[in-house]
Amino acid sequence: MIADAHLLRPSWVEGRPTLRQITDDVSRPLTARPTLGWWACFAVASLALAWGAASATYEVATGIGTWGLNKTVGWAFDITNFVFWIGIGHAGTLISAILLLFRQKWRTSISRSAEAMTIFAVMCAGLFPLLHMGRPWFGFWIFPYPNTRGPLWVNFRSPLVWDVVAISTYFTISFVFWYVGMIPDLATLRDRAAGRGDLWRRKIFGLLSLGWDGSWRTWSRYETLSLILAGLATPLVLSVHSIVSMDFATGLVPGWHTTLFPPYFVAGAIFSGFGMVLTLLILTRKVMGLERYITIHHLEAMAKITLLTGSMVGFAYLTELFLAWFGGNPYERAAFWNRATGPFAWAYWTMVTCNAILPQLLWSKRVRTSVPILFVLSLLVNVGMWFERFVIIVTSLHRDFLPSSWWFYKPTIIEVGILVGSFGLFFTCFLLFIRALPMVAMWEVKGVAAAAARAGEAHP
Amino acid sequence: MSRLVAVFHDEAPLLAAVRAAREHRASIVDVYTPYAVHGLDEALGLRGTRLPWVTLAGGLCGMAGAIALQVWCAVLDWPLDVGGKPHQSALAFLPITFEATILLGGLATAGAFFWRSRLSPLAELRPVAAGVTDDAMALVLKLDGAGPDERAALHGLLLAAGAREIREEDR
Repeated sequence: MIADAHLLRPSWVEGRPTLRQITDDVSRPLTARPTLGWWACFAVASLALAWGAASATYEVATGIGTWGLNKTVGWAFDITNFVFWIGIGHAGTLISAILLLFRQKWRTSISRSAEAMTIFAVMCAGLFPLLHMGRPWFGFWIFPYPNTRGPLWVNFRSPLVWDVVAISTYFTISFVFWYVGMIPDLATLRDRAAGRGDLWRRKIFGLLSLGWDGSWRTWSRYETLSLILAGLATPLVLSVHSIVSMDFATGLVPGWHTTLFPPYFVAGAIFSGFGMVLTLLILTRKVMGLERYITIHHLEAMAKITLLTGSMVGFAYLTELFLAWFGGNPYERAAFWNRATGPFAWAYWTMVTCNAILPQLLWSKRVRTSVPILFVLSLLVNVGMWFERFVIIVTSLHRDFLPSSWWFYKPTIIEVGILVGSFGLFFTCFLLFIRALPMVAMWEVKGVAAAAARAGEAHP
Repeated sequence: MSRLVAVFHDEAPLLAAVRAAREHRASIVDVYTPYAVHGLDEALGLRGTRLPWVTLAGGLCGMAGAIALQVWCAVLDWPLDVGGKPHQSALAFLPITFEATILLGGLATAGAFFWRSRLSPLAELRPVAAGVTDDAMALVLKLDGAGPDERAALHGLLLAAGAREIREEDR
């Protein structure tokens, strides 16, 4: 009976550590010297970032002509990357907010790093529309402020303006949620830094922890605040990718103009985000020695969500194909026939294989609990979801209504450089984060460990 | 204020001490814990927070502000013909209204929380006991006006509940 109960509810913290041990395990890597593995990752990431910064500087100094865009394909690599990075962020909010509302205990030890991933991913995403402006120093024109041009206001009916508002809101709320969630742990770090050599550490954590003293009156309000922020972030995250999908769905382009887009994009975003969370956590639990807190059960739970959302994405692909045929619109049919058999067919079939077919392997428990296979699958999900956005954007545009406008798209080295640079920015930020801040929410893990101890006492 | 600080290293004795102190009608100043202890709200009998009302007010302000801004800009101040759509195209104003509702609701709630809990970078920190952000929990009782008998009774009650350390202090 007890063995059955154990199978049903795996323990989310291995080996019943004491409260002090949890503090030590999570804070130790922050004061220890970085490992060789960390330095190797950091070197690669900052090199990529440097390459991206050089490419972006060249593009801004010279102009958008350095990209492979043309009159027919006016959106390609940049918007692909934008949608890709926004999607990556969505898994972080799902883990930190939606699973909190569903009272899923397994979120506790991964929510902090997933939320950090959201913030860095949204930063990367924001770069691309800004760079696509060509003159990013006029980026503030998108905000409705009294100006000397009339005042001429922004067009509030445009999905591009909705997008700016949605993503700024998403970034702000995610940041507040992340920071608020970290305050008790920052106080723990402040109180640990009691030695003589720790003056700066104590000062910085002292400022950041806002004088948190563990008072129950504060804790009580704090729990309510967390629930409210989670309740707000949940519809917010659904709205963000719905609005991103409307950038396309409100355009009269065959392949874009469909009501399927909002749910299809949201499912794809969570799918791609879980791919990235798996990639990151499989690496960091190893590098930072946190296997006790980020267990194989966590990886398996994430694999299940990947399977679910991957199947939703696969279903959306089939629906798109069916409706293109069933709707009887010749342009729509041509667009989908071109996707599957045209010059970008290789991209289309890469997308179908990585997103709809390979994740079906996750039905097998043996696959879900094998770390190397999960790692490879998570990388393929990232690749597949990048290609999904590329396919949607480029294949829909490159065959215009008039065959005389048909054109091809090929990225330049500058565009590739900026994409590589965005990965560099993301991983540099993440690597600095795991060195500077506690990547596991200590206070939440303590609560879960205490609950497990209570349950253990009730059923010895 | 003269007060009694009792330190615990587990949540079960802490909860027992809180219940015993309330039965004894002792005045509880506060409890300090390293994590949100399950069941402490009920044991302390705290009144629920009013933060959700702040969220509602902030959200409504965001909603009203976004509608007012969009209608004023796009309908009243400079009505611009975009693809022949009506100036007052309320449905198209929904996404921004929704986002502003969420944004102001969230920021107002977080702000109210910081203000009400007196959390700020300049806050003066006076830790009640070592390790309350690590593995210790502290129960603080008010002692003002308590005679020696009452003090002895409180000490006995806390020790019976499983306190590891008890001290009196003036603040």
